[in-house]
Amino acid sequence: MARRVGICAVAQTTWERDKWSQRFQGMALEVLEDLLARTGLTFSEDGGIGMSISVSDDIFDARTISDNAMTDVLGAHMGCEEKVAQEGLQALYYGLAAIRSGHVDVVLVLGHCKESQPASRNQVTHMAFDPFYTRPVGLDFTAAAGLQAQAYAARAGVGDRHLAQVVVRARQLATRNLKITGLPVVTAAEVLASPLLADPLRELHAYPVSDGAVGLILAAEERAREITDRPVWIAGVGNCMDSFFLGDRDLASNFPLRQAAARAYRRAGIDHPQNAFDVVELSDQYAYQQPMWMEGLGLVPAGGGGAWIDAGGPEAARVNLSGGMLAGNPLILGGLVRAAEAALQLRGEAGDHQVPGARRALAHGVMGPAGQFHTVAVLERD
Amino acid sequence: MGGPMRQRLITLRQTIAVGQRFATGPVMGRFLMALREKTILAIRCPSCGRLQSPPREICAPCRVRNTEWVEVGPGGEMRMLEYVYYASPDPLSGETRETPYGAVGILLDGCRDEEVFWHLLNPADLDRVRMGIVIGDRVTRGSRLRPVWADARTGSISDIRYFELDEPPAPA
Amino acid sequence: MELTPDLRDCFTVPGKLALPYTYFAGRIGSRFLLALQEEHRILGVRCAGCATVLVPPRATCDRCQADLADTWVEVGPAGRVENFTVVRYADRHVPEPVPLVLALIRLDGADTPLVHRLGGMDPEAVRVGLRVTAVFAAEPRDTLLCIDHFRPLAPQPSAAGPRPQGG
Ligand SMILES: [Zn+2]
Ligand SMILES: [Zn+2]
Repeated sequence: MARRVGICAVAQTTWERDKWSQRFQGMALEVLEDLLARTGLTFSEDGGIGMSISVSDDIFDARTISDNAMTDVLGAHMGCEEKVAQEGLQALYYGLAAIRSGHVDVVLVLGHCKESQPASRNQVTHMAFDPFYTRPVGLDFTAAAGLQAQAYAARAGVGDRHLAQVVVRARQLATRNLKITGLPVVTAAEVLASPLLADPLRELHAYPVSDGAVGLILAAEERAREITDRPVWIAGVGNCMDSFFLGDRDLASNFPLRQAAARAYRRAGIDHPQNAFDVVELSDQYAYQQPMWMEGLGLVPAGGGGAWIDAGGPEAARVNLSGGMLAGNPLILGGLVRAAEAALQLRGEAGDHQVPGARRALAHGVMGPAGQFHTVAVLERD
Repeated sequence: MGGPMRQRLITLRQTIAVGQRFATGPVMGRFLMALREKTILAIRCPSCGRLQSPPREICAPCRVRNTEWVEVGPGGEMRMLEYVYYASPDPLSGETRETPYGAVGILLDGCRDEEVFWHLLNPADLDRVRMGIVIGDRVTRGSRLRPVWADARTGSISDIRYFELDEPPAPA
Repeated sequence: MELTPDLRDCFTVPGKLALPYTYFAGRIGSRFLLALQEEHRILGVRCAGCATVLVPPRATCDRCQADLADTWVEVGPAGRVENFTVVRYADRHVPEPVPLVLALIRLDGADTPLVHRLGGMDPEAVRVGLRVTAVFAAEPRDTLLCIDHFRPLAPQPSAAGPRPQGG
């Protein structure tokens, strides 16, 4: 029988528009020290943290293999170190694999990003495209999201008014999340009047530029129960990668997310996802993605995104009570922060946005243009 | 016709470039601002006493925050020389520097063992310096080097242009 | 001297991430680009496994893992706008001028739409279903911009192109 793996502790910096006074190493160290203080753990292959998994984006960091520049602040000096450059939630998957295999008992996962460092996020995501075919026409993740939003909105009855509602709610929830600072609330009128970026995306539909770091401690069941009295179990993880060229995909179909979710549900033994979750944390980099990913997760009927928002679905389904990505987490950390927030809910540590008695949560991460790659994790407590 | 089919192949030369705004943080920032005053700072580990320059937030082997600032150098003994014939492009500009050049590891005055400080060597001194070597009791002294400071200093590692030989010329 | 992490010690430094690359188009890509450059013909590849005509062409079908070498078919130069967005921000990687219409264009004979820019019409008048055709660049280019842009087949009210040909 494979070993159960638990999340034992969560720490994050505040998420800010511009942490100009900190290097990424400093942000990571802040999270590491917080985690060690919470758990009393040290680094050792004999009972302590036996492996460090970092999450970082080389182009955002402007360094090749940017984890090399920070093994000291990961506690990974002369230790076992691994890097996730894809999407933060994948680090949970790596940690799960390392522990279930029996290779290690305790794993540190620590991600960082300073989106304020490059001149523009769009210049960075532009690099994800092909130099011959798709860079020359100017594609970046914002333009790709515009194409997807255009295709999805028509199919799901999601209009400008719905998107404004999603943003207003996210900004309001963000005021209850102590880790979000300096993000003003907005009115629907302000969202509707904000400039278009790539039709139908508006400036206020896009997740804010943000800097920060997040970390988790994962452990095998026996060790997890020693470290904390409220471990959060990783019940199942699934992911899926869709085609590289946008034209090869049906952008509104949610194909890769449906695959990722089905894999996660099967591994977690969930037959009826519709009412399986007390809390849902999904990576809504742009407002249209909140209803769209809910459809892809099978939690809202396909094509029903607009009606779901009209019916107060986001509140009823307890979606992104942390504020979600629209409250500001870096691209590469979206899914990892979602897992952290979901774990806080299941540990009863979510503060002002705590759902009483939450037992099972879903965390979702996404990377690549127009949702090319998705990861879904199911988390549970005893 | 015979022989393999020939085909024209296309390559595209392109420099990818993204502007950046790097943060120094408090530790690196203090070190860099000291260079503006022609001072080289190191930071000491409270656990093992090791000095690091440029300073880091923590001592990696001890996994503790460094706590004490110490002024070192500015002169020192050359312990390592990388005589470089092939230069990688500088990721800050995409340009490739002139070769050959020397990268030197200097044991600044006040430092010991592996506590070397890396910088550039004056290209004119490339063939005139010798490395210090310590193998057990066998000690060979390396060349004395001193920093050559830039006139306009901004709080950057380039406030030291390079290190140069700080010894009388060998008798003919 | 005691360490006191102090904001007065913190500052930021302007810099750059810049790296020179030489990208290789590959055999399939080179053939595709040369056909655009020299013959103003648009080529796709046809996967026998899934009967799909893929544009841009590639060496392998990602669904069937079939080898697609020598499965060339000519497509376009006309096609249909399947989807589009109007990029309204200027940035160094975005071709001028903005607003820039980026469209997924399914070329006649192809199954997978190609992303390219639309010109020769008012961005606000673009609609899904619009018939368009390729406008080839006057001078040779080593990228997809051998096709400078696509323009409507039928005359449109406004005729400002995204960039003058050869400009
Ligand atoms: Zn030490
Ligand atoms: Zn196929």
